[in-house]
Amino acid sequence: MSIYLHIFPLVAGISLVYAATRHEDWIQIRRHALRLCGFILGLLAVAMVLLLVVNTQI
Amino acid sequence: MAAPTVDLKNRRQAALLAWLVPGLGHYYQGRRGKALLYFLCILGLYFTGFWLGDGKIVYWRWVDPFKNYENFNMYYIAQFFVGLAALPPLIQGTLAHFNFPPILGGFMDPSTEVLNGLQFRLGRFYEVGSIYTAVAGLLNVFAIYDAYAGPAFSDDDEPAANPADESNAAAVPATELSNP
Repeated sequence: MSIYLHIFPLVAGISLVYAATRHEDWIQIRRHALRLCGFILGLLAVAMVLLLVVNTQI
Repeated sequence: MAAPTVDLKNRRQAALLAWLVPGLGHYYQGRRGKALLYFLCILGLYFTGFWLGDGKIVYWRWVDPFKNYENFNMYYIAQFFVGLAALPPLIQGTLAHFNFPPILGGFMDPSTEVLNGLQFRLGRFYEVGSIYTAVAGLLNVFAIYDAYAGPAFSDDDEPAANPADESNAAAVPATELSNP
């Protein structure tokens, strides 16, 4: 298993636990967790692309 | 923070239970779904990391971090908050500090040679396992706080989506609020 794939369970766990500490309602928890998960993965993807560009093009 | 709308029972006891076993404090409070979520997520991350690190990455030694930084395990400060599952290293480290032999056949008490060999053998999985276990501990800090103080927002008390609602609410005179 690629070492990079280990980021997904980690981000999922962080998102679920953080969302659960903010709400009691499961619909709110699920919505918040999905939003946070997307945000973290998006941020990581942008950072990865930027670093790849810097490493290969500059 | 909004006032908690859930019955937190004895909140100190709940926080202690939440530290000992992730989710146990919430189970005690009757928040069974959250208890299961914390238990699975936090202990799942912890034991996955533990497995990735060959069961040897959670350890503790009573050393001066400035003078003996090679033997100081900074990750354990976070791992400690997982609770019972991360307590054996503290016991082993304390026994070693007072020159007592290790217990449980040296479980969670790897020597420096073993750790050096492990880093060479596992490569980056050593770091991944350390991060998993440390993040699990840090997430349990959130869970402990949730058991102690309740959710940061109760669902009836979410911040208003429309800022105008908030300004209108603030404009209501206090006398009207107190005399419905």
